[in-house]
Amino acid sequence: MILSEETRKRIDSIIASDRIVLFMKGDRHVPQCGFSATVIQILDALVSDYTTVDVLADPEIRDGVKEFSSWPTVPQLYVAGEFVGGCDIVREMYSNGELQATLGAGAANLGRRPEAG
Amino acid sequence: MQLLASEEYGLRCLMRVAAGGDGAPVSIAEVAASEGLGAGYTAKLLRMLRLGGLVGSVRGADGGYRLARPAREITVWSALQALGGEFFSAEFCACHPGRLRRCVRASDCSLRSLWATLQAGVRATLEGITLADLQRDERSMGVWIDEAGARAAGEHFIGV
Repeated sequence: MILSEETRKRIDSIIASDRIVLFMKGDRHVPQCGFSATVIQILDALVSDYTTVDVLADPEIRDGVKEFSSWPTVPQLYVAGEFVGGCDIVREMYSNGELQATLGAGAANLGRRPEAG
Repeated sequence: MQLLASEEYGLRCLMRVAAGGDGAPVSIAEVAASEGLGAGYTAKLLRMLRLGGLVGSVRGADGGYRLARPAREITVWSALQALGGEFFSAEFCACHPGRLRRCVRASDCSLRSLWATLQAGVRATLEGITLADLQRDERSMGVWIDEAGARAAGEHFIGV
């Protein structure tokens, strides 16, 4: 699949819409796969607010985000516009404290971007 | 149908680490520069290979990555597994129900049979090729694959 310019812009826009964005199967309350559920569990332990995107509801995003990040699997976590990793990487980063540092966690509630100005 | 970028780049990173042999560990920066990749992306790929048990990391100023076992014991299939790609996984059908909760073809699907056969063929082929086999130039690799294919066909013929 070749990522269309339109889909790339959509993904860009989604990632820019929040500091923490998770592309996943299902949503925060009803994850549709074990890997997505694991990342949700970890994020919920660290932050109160973040955006999820259900790729099952949008085949273009589902395929597009894999090409966008050059990463083969979903879930995919983005923080401040940067691709962090999938479930295995997020899990390991959580266990060694890297994820907390990446999220700036400790001070919970850091999901939303601050209002400009 | 196409190979995913992570599989192509991940395998190339693994081959770079393999080329380091028993010498000093190969750093992320070296792998990234050699393959024309960003350091961050290379680090993620090597991390997945480490989590998959294919490479080990050495900490410190002279740290980097080494193969976790000899190149002849690491198959291309195991590398692709570690990099997250699988042509036709067990979850494939459950993940393609369209807008429904369950695929309309769940109980009877000719495509499933086709994909499963292809998956088995791809796996059998890639399980027979190791990182050591990949340490050839393109021409030699082509000859080796042709000969291996001919041998396999001959064995099949004799077996029948």
